[in-house]
Amino acid sequence: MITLKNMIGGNAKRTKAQAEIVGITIVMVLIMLGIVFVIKYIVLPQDYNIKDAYDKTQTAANFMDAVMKTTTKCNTLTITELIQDCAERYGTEFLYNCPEDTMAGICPGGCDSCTYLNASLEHILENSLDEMPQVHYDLYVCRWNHANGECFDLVEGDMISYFPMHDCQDGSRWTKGYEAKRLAIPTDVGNRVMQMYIC
Amino acid sequence: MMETISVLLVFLILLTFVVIFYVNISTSSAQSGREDITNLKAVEISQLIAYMPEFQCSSKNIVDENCFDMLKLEAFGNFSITTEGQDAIATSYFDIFEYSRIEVNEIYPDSTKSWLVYERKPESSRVSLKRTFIPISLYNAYDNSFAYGILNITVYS
Amino acid sequence: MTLKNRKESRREIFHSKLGIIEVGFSWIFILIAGVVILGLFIYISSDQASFFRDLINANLLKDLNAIFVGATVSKDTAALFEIPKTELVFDCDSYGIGGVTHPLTGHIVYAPPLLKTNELITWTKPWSLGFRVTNFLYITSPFIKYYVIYDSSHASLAAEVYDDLPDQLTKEMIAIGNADGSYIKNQGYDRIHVLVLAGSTYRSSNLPSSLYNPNDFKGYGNDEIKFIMLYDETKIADTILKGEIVIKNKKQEQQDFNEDFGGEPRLSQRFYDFSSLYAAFISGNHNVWQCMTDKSYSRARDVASIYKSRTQSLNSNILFPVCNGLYTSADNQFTIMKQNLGDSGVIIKINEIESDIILFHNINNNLERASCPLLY
Repeated sequence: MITLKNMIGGNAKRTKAQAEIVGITIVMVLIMLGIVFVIKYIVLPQDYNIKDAYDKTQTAANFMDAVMKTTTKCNTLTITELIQDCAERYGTEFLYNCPEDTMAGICPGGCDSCTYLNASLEHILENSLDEMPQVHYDLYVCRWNHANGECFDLVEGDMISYFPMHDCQDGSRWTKGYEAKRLAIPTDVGNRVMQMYIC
Repeated sequence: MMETISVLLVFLILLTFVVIFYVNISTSSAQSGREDITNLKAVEISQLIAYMPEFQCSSKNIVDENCFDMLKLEAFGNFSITTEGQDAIATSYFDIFEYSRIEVNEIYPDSTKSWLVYERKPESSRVSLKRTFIPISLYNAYDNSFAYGILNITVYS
Repeated sequence: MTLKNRKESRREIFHSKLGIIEVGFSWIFILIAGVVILGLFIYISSDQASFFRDLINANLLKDLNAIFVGATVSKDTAALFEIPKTELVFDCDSYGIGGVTHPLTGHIVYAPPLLKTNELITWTKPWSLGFRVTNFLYITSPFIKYYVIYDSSHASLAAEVYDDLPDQLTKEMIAIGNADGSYIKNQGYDRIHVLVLAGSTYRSSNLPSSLYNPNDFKGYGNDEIKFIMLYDETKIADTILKGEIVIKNKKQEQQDFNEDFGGEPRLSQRFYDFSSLYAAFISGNHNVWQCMTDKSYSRARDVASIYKSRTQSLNSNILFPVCNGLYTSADNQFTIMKQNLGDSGVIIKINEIESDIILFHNINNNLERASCPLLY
């Protein structure tokens, strides 16, 4: 039977239930905040690492500056001079003859400047950048095609040195972020570049 | 009354969970901050040592960037074994390099040459390392030639 | 009323009285619990507030240190940085914010003792005694005004100094005849540093009293206006400026003005190189300038030892008589220089360092002419 007393009692019950729901809602909101907090500080990726970024930038820049000045045991020519000789006299009999470097194990029995250059660069890379597990690189010494931003490699002599690790690329697509540095080397047959990608 | 007490009890339990959670977050945040500081220290040392006239190549005070003078590296080694040098390394050079190891290795053309410039390890047995390798030029004043080398910096924390 | 009814009504009264008592205790309990919980939260929040304030200051100091390292290794460069508005305190060994300090870790830093700013200017200059010793890092803010005041005989030196100062600095160059109230006004800067290039003929009375007139600059404390006087300056080894510096505060300059320089003699300090002059000018603080200068001479001692050892190696391996003679002279001169620089931060013969610098300069030039590897 609907009486005034029953109605009042019913309202009280409904009000009590509403208060319970408000309480549950507050608890749910707090739990959601906690989950957001957890996701932000634990689940999401780490912040930018200054050391890794610095290492990449410095390695590319410093490597090329240091290598270009290096004096080889090929008649005390520098790497730059070997590149120039290789570019200017490629395929001719006038290429520099370099003696064997027994200490580094380069050029057994003597060889030309292009072979000596590649062997020196390989030796340097094997004993420095290849020993750094976090460093992946591609190194080219070539005639640069400014139109497409790549080396010319169609004509022999355009690609002087080529040391790809391919850890940065999947085919022609860069799969990781990289630093690129390019140094120009003037020669009598046009500029050559040393191009390095580090990822 | 009992209801109030039980509410307080539940509240305290929740508060305890929150505090434990907060302490864990703070601890991992502090460890991450410590790693950041070590990384930053490694970067700072590599920048600072490259500009120091004690090691840097120069000609009439015109500096050659990213180049270390082999004779200065040898001279620093000779200086560091004198009493005066040991005092300097314990004070002014420690202020710059702190707990770290700095070594220069020639890679080409003579890979047998290397110089231990500075080393100071912390006394604690639990030590973590951060290594940095930087390609550098090495200048030989005897024959005015350049070699290729690596600057190895290990920071202890 | 029956016995049963009487008992029931007594029970009701008792329970209702119990209800009254229980309600009272309940409120007391709630109050106590509430106060305890509130107190706990207030304590935690105030404790955490001060902790995080210190943490923010420490993080800012760490970032500033990285900026200072980058600035130190980039010689002859100046930069302007925006930072959170803060009060940076500098002393001989450390710098700090709000009680949190960070050591200077081997840097030679010249800065005013207090910088209240949201912008920092960093500037780096190499310091040499013939051979380069270290880089000086200067730190200041755009809220400090730098005046270069000169007489006619120092016009070219003043122009050289003024052009060398970075553009980011709030600077002004004024001829001494014009240094009156119409040029030097209170423009609300935090500090004023005045470099006076007028040599031994300078008398405080030549500089009008604008800068210490109580009416013009009354809001400035004694140490917020600094005068850096240069005396007996000459250039040695082509480029290195040598001279004497006196740093005075507002009260001392006012005394000298009133007594027409007949009062208490001011102690001057010998310096070498433009970098040292800029150090005094930028920092305007005699204690910091003195202590950093001592550190830089200590560094010079170490660098001289290394150059000495290098010279000996060159002497042993370059077997060419002209070169060997020059290397032997240089080796002896390095020994003399180390004696002049003294031990343990105490400079014994600072005036004799001038002859060391000149000799090294001449030896290096002679080595270059003879195509021998250079000293530095």
